[in-house]
Amino acid sequence: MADALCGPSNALQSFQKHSQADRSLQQDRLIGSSQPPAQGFRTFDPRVGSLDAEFHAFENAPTNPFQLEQPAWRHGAPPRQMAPSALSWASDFQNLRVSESPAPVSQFRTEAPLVRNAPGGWQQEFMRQRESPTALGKQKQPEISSFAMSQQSFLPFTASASLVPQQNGIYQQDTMSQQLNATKPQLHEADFERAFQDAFDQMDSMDAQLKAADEMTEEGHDPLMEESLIQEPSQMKIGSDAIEYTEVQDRTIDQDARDANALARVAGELVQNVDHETNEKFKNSQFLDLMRRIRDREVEVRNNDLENTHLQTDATEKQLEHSDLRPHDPNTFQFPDMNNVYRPDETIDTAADDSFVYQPAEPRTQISDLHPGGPLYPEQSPPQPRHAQMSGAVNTSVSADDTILEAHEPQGFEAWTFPAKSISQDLVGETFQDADTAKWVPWPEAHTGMVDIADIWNHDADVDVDTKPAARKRLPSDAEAGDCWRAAVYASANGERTHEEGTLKEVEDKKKAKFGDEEQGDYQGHEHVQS
Amino acid sequence: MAYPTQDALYDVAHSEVHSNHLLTASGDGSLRLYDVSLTPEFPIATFQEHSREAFACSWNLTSKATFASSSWDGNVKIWNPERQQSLLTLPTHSCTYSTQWSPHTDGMLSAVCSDSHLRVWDLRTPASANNHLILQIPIHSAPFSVSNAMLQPTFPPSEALTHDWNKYRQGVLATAGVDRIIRTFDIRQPKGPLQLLQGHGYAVRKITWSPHLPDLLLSASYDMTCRVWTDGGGDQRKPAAELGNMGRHTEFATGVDWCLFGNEGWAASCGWDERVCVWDVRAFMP
Repeated sequence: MADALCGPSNALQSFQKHSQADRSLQQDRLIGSSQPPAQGFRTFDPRVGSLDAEFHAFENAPTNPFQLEQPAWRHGAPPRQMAPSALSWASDFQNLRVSESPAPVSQFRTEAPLVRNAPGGWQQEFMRQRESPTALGKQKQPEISSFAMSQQSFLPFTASASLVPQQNGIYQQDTMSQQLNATKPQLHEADFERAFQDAFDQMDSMDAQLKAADEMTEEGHDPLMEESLIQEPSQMKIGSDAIEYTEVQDRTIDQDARDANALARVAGELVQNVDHETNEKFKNSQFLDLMRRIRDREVEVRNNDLENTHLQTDATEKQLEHSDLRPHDPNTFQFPDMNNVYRPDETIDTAADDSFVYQPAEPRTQISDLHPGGPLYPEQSPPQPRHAQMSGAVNTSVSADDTILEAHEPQGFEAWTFPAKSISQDLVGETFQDADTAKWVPWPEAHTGMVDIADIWNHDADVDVDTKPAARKRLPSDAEAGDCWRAAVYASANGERTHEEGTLKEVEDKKKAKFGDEEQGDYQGHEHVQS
Repeated sequence: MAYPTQDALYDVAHSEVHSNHLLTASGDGSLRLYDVSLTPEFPIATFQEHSREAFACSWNLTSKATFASSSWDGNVKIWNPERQQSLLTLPTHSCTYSTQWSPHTDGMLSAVCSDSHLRVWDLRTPASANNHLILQIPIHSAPFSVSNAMLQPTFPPSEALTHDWNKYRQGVLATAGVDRIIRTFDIRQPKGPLQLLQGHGYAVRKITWSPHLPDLLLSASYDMTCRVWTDGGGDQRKPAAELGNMGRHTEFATGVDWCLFGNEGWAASCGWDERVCVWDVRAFMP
């Protein structure tokens, strides 16, 4: 074909290619129907006549579709001057009676060729076009492309979709006839004049477009073919095309949250859509069950996987039951039930236990061990050596015990109480080897040699420090070691003796022997004082 | 033999040049060629050009040297298994769920897209402005009707998910998709569908013409059924009808195909219930 030849292409060449295209398969049908449509078996096809006309128009067409009709129209010559047999739509136009009542609805369709055959169809089609100027605007592209007498329906699908609600196989005729009834009284000659003027203007602008297109052709393009075939359905995107795509790398946390919301919403819509379904299979579908759970946010997508969220749906439901959801009336004031305002009893404790959320352990530091009560308790860190020096109060004759007591006892020491059993609470459930019987016994019963610091702080317990290393099979944690140490410190600070009669120094030595020298650096202050 | 993959696989096609080769279309946009006679779990070739999910792959049934793939990125690509780069890219500008080579004409292939259009390319035509595209039929257009008195319904455009070429009647295609209707087209009469087969309750995911009979069609749908249809065999007087309904799947049925070598009428279907059902179509035809 022409394309295979070398050399520059021009408009004529491309048109030649267009007209010489092998259409034998289509034409054999057309040739068969060029006889009067009353004969032959194809007469039942309503399109035969119109295709005939289209074919003739195509055959006689000069370079563009509008030059075909424009000379007569634009220079004021009435269309009547054209040979009546030339174009069937032209004869339709001649037969057009403006004031005629619309043809029965069943006689015309939205398909352009059929409309042309139906008396009065063109007129209504035209009125409908005028009805929706937006549709007219969108119409431009397909009209240009109708050169090839392509198989476009007169109304492009975008326009028809705007009239017809989605997903309903509604007969468009219904809407059309309604529109016609509504507009019928407004049919005026002047209206038509204006309409024709609009149409001419539009044609002029299209002429200009085509001229520009011809220039494009010089560069080797074939705009007519292109537009008739690659008609961009860009006006409306449906389904997957409407989904915007985000690169994985460009994702933000915010977007993840939005996606999670969107997923839950879509899942909800999906579940709702199949809600009417009575089929057992749909009721038992695992997928739909999953969708329900996604909708309820019981399952979320994390790290490319589905994960159960730890939503305590029971708890929230209980809350909802108890909370009063009635709107508050500003004119009434009810005294709160004072019994409910503050009730420090054990029920709260159990509630607190229920709502316990496991928090992974932070790496422990020496400082945090020294502040078991957290920031609410005053500073208890060991005294800095220079503190004592600066005060000038270092007195080597003073016993080590007294110094420690002085240094360690903050103001108002007597007023504090240590949170009861806080440490021993932590150990509940653990078993220890009893120092005496060498049996494994749960914590409170075990005689491990450890002492609860709370007892010492509250001055209400026997201090019984058993430092036999053999008694402890379990490696002590820093905290436990600290507890033990502090127990010993305060025991001796209070002038009490361990049952081994150990002085502070001895206890410390034992501690070092037991736990190594790790803590030595932190307690240099004591040693300094002692030396 | 199992070949683990990182992403979901949307389609698989047997090679027509090598009995052991198998092609997959993957969620990351890549196409992978496996040799089932080899033990390693790696593909023997990977073709990575699509930027989004590759939804379909189809081996050329006539010249056998090439295969085609389609993707969400709006392209259909033609490949040769021996070349890393694609031979040809045919843009559709729309998410393309399905592409198929014509079983009759060498170099002719088709695709259906989310924009509700059926496109046909003929690679023998010169690659001028229209990029081999010879036909673009709006699937939702009004049906080609024999009766003048009947009202013509119009349909809103809806996503097309699957299509197939008839194995006997040259130029006849069937398409189906989200609007639950299976339509047959003759590319020589591109005005509109010839037949509308309605009955599925939800979107139709896969259709396939019988390799044994010219009018028989199988479909798998999101209504969890597979159905057997006849389109009348091109005879306008014969009605198009649903012949049978296979409802064994307990989740969405997403794939169905005929058995080429067993008994006439055997079929296999798969679905989201993680099962493959092998069944005799005739057993479900009352």
